Amino acid sequence: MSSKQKEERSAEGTSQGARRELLKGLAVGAMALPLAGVAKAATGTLGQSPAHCAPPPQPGGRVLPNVVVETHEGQKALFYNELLRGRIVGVHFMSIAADATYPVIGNLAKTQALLGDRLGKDVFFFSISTDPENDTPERLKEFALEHGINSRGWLLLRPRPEDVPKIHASLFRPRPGAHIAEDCSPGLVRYGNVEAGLWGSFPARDVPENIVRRFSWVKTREPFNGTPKRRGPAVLPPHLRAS
Amino acid sequence: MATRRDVLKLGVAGGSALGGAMFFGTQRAKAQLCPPDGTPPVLEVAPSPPATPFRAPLFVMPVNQPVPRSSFNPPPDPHRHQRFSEFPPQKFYRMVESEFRWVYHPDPPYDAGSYSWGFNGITPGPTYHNRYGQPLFTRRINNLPPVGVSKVTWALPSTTIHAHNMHTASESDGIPMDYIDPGEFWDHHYAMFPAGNDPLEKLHTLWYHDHRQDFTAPNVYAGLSGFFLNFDQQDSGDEHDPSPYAWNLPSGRYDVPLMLHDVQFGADGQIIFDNFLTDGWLGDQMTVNRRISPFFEVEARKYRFRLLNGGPSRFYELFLSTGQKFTVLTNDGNFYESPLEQDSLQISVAQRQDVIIDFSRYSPGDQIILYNRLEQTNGRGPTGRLLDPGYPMMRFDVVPRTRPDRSKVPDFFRPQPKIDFGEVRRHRTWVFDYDGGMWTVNGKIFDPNRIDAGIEQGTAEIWTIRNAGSTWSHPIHTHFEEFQIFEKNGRKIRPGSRLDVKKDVISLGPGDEVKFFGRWRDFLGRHVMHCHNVVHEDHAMMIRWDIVPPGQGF
Repeated sequence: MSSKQKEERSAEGTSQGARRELLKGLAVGAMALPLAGVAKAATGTLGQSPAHCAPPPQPGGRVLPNVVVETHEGQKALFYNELLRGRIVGVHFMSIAADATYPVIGNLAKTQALLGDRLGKDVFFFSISTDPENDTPERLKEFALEHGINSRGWLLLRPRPEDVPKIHASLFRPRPGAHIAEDCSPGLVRYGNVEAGLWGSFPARDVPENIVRRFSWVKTREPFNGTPKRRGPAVLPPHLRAS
Repeated sequence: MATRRDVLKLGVAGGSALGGAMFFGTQRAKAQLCPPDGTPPVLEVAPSPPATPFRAPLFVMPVNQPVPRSSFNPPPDPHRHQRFSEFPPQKFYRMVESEFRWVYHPDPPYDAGSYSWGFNGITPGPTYHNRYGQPLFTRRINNLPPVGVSKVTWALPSTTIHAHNMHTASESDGIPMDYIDPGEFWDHHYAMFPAGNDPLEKLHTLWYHDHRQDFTAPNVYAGLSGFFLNFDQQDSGDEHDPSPYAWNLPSGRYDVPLMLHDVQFGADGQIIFDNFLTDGWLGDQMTVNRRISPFFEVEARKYRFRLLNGGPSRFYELFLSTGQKFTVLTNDGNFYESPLEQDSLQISVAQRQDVIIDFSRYSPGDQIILYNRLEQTNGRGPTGRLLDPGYPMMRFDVVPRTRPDRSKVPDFFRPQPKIDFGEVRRHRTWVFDYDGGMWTVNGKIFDPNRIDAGIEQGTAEIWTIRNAGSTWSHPIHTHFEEFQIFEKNGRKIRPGSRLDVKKDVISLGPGDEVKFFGRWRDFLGRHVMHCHNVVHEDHAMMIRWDIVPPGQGF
């Protein structure tokens, strides 16, 4: 297989044009990207053969596309390689207009507060706009500020309009004929361990404590060795113990 | 008068038949009111590798074998279980959950085995044979490989095993919150007495399966399920039982549990699951006891088959190729007052039907195929159309009888418990719907810490269960006690009809409304009701209800 073929296979969705555009963006942006680890990931990606970046399999054999997205901080990043790869993430689709009629960002902001330092270290949130015409990075930035979004662990993303369906199809199975702007699932957040390909969903309006708990469920762990430990049931209170 | 929401739903129904794009294109502002995303064209786009039907022999699960009490370290702790001392266990079991390759079929690529999860090395797990009056104890140990190591990448190796629909205390029930991670165990105590100590409340064919919050569908689909059978002096499990109380139903190797799962496989023979489908998940290979379309040699005599729809989302309507009727004994494990003769069996997820098939009318060499004729093209529910001939589930190959058939099918089993509306303390209504991509009950998503109903111990209630959807079905299951449906869509249940029986799963078609009478007795604590299309359950279609002391209800 030629290196060009390899590149096409491994970085599905990244056209030559997109890569050029990205490189242009990174020329000023790479080191300034606010996400911890992104700069490192970007350097690694660009410095090695793209074949090493072959994404792990995701549900239903999907590939998380390596398309260029703009962040609310005005930077450009590859969606898979630089934002999702190797991480525990919460990902959902939104738009500033949709959040006005079906608000979810406010609740996720409460979740951010509970996660504290873990957001940006163990867990990352990505809110993907389905309305890139209106949700410019400037507006997204303003929206993020309104909600106190800390861009260290949470980025609002504006894909190119033609890439919205690609990203959406990697996390949903769209109805035939439905356009992405009519996303049916504003109340649903995917959470997953990208490296392991393991994903669940939580309601965006769930109690923040319930949301936070989930991220540790999908964490990669070491194989267990030794004697099994009792998890439960707990010792009952006296009134329940009596027969 | 139709509300806007109703109109939107009708639009969806029309749209799906006439082209949804137009509808979706005009309702942007109300996007959250369109149904959750997902149609599963997987079946057509990438069908499973072919497998020769009726080449795999049926897997008959071994009976679960008890272990000595002394083998537990630490030993069972009475302080962790309600009424443990009153019902001390007489039998002890150890169930270890692990990952292994399971051969669904002898044809390649299946012959190399598909990574699966199961109990004590098999899937379905060993079959429990329990007896009323003989309490039992099970320690369940999670020995699955953790996330990142497991070859089953789409399920969560964190489990909570629910014995559906055992009358057992909350802490032994296997509710979604009581999970164990790899390297942990949970103890379960089954007191083995019928609800209210009323012999009419006995139930017989049950099953156990994972119930992990957010991951029940993939975890059960991976293999975490098995049968849990209860016997008593009437359904004694011995067709030669001389006791005057014994019904002498076919027993031993003539009493065969059959668990149905539809599974999707990749070109490499590995199981495929898509966590990103919220409608439900369908497979194109029909498996019985985790073998693809198996064959089973039957003697020319009566058999008892215990049919269970193990899910995740498919509804079945089963027929025999010869047109022979089924003699139906039970519904959801509860005996009918008298057996019913039915041309077909309608079984939604988690429902069970015990039937007698008498093969004595056939000659050795005859072959009878069990078909599922119900069409279903997406996870939301069946179309209602019957296919001809349908999907071949399994084949019965008739061989000569080895000994006389002494088994019997009595004309009368036992009456249903009396419904006494005088006991009713509260009426509640539960509406099953969707919102913003999640499935809801009374407009709410599941919160394990929110008690949606506080039911007073020792009281009865009437629950109205309504499907607000016009294009999908929900098999609704509530834990702990059976209930009795007395009205469906405004009509009383006819005596002697299919629904004139205790149940624990309601098959709720589009727009259906069902009213049932239920009692809550004997224990206190947390339980759940949920949609048993387990993909819907994982996407929040569940409530928590608690049994609370008398006088503290809400």
